[in-house]
Amino acid sequence: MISSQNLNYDVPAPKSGLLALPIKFYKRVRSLPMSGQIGVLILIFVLGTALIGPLLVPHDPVSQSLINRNKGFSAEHWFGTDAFGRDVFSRLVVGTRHTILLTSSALLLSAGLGILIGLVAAYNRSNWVDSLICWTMDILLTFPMVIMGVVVVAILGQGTLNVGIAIAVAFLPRMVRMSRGVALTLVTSEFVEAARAIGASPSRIVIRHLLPNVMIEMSSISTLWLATAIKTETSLSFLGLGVQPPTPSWGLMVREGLSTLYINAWPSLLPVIAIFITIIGLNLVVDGTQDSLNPHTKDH
Amino acid sequence: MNKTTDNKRTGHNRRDVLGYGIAGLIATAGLSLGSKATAQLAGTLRIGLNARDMGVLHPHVATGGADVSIIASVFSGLVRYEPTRVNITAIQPDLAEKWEMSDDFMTHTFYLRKGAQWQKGYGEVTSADVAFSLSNVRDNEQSTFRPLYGNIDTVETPDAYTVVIHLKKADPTFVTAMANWQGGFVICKKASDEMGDRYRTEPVGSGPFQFDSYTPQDNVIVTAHADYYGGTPKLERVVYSYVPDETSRRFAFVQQELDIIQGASNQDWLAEVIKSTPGNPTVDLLGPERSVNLHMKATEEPLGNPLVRQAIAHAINRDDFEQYYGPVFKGTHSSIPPSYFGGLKTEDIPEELKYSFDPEKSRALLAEAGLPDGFEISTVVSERGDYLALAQIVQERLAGVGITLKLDILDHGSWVAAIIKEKRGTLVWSISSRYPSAEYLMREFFLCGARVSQPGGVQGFAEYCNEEFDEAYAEAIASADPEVRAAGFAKAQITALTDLPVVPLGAMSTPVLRQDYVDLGYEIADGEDVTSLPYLYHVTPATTV
Repeated sequence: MISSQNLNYDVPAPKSGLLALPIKFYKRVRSLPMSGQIGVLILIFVLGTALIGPLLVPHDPVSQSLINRNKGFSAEHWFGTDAFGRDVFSRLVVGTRHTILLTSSALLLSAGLGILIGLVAAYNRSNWVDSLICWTMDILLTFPMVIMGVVVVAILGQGTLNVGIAIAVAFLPRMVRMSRGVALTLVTSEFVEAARAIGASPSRIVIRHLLPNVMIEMSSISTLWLATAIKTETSLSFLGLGVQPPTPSWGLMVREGLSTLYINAWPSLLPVIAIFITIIGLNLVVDGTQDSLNPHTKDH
Repeated sequence: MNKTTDNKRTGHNRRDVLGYGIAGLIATAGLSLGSKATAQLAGTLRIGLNARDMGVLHPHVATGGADVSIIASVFSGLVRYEPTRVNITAIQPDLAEKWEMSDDFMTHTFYLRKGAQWQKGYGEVTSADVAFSLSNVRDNEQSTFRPLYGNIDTVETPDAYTVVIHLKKADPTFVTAMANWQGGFVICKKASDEMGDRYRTEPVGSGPFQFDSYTPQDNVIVTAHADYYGGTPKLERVVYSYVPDETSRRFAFVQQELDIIQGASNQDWLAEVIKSTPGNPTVDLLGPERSVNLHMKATEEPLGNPLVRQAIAHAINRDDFEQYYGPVFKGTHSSIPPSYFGGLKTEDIPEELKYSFDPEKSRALLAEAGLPDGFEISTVVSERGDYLALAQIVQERLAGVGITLKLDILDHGSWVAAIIKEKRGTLVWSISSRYPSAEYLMREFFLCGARVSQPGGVQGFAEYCNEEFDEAYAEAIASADPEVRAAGFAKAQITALTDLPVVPLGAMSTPVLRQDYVDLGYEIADGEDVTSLPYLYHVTPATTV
């Protein structure tokens, strides 16, 4: 049983200089099972690609060279070229940035809003505010993620920003439900009772006492949902509703490569592999973290 | 037990991931091995169309390349083009046994064959149907073909088998307007009156095949019309399937689940399909060539400035398209393909009106227009491969001279509605084939009355209007002398190139593939230029599989 108190890992950071944080991170990673460590490595690789990859790519990802269409792997074009003669490696790397940045910022937006609404609902658990929020979110939850995304894009129009909003909206009910659930276990706990007893205002209780605890729990669930968000973004882009050409994104690359699937499969296949590896990485990290926290499996 | 951990477990875990992996492997294996090829189905011809869904099957309003191919087997006209040729010399009797024209080309008389039956028991085809049909297309606000029939003054029906058409202006080639294409298809008055709007999607015609069923986004099935005047068709039915995805269409053809498909306009694709399909399949590059154009809407700034339009024209490299599409595409410098009657040959166009690829000149023109840093413009484009590739290639070239083009990609049906009904689209790509004579494309794209914003407008996406053009066109079509007609068409084209409402990009043939066991019922000689208006082979009563 994880008690509410030990959820609050507010350990003061050791004041031993710049290396403290990386060392702490390293120790945490080492405490994970092997699969989790591999997952972390994969994620570092993917995030690193997203952050600095676009600065290092050998070619402009949108620049066409129609004379070099559908070329195979070569020293000039590491992953070959697509139907427009664009460098697939460069597109894949730059596409990583679009896909990862878009999905993680959408998820952050969704988590920010969702946690706030969830906390308000949990704090007002016995009155109509909670019922209203829960009912609304339950209705929204009945829509599958991609359908919800399609509906939002249909209303707002296509484009990168709107896809971000669509993903955020699609995740909102899940965020609200989850954060409300976590917060509900906290509102009745002793430290909240104590805060209330010394006369803390509702907003202070929500922000100072509930929020930090809920955040920790939500951050790990959000990592897992990032995998779903990536799938949603690539699905929307695949359907032609996401990032618009010529900007590369994984889903769009899969779609664009389909017409030449039997002539040159790599432009479609490589982003699929990238999506696959990223999602595996995320799952390994989350599974590993769970195992290391779970008293039943921790020592095995 | 830990509640929050349980909640996480509802997401993914290693078992799920493993499951996905195995499912993926099985799917990949299935894809590569494929299922056993399905041989042809006796009595059934299966056609794969490059479209998502049926639009409308009324011949007087349908423009979609998939709709018209179905319409061509359901309806017939007073006269028809003998298959594999579309030319005034290939015109044969059909619903009309014979026809004659007055010496002043003002009166055209058609004598109908007796006993031609409408499908589904709607009785005999009479002159009343023809008169109804012509007024329907001439006065139909939704028909983009009505300019052609606007020249009809009155239609007389002295008896049930005679139709006398009086024109407003002389037209020696009027008989082509009565051929089996678009407004020339005769519709059934009784069925149209009885069915109302339903006639648009459940048509009743007098052709060899009758409409049987429609399954949305799946197929349209037509069955043999037993009372067809040209003899009962040998095929029992024809299944037109909607397969918008090129890869799916390729797969179904290679597996011989489809007998005929509309191909992708891409040489690599065609070569790969031919190589992978068992037997000895054939690809035909059908004419009349589709004229590929970029219309620039003059009412949208900065496209109103001729310098900007010239800058756009000089930024585009026609070689790009030739490289992308292969031999299917030929770069041209006039909107009327040179293979059409009246189409200007490249060598007959003055050098300065060819607007050849010259990015330096393009940038200079932009600077002269007061836009030295270029500009940003957005437009709508169809998701269909051939259109989207055109747009993306142009997008890249425009970026090279500082013009940022934003594309709003719509499915094909929505795009057609956006550019025609909603009049959206600053830059509009068109890929259109018509009867191969200049007046058809001119009438729909360049005449003042064609402007989309006009109450009777059709496809004048550039909002172009120049009286000189209209006059040259009128002179040309009034004459029976081919030389006078050609001279008038040439003058009109030079006027259009000077004003440059449209950048002519090229001419594209329509690739269609057939399995070796398909017998079309007519011979196509090796290397023969095949022309067929419906973007597909004509399915005739003699066609078999």
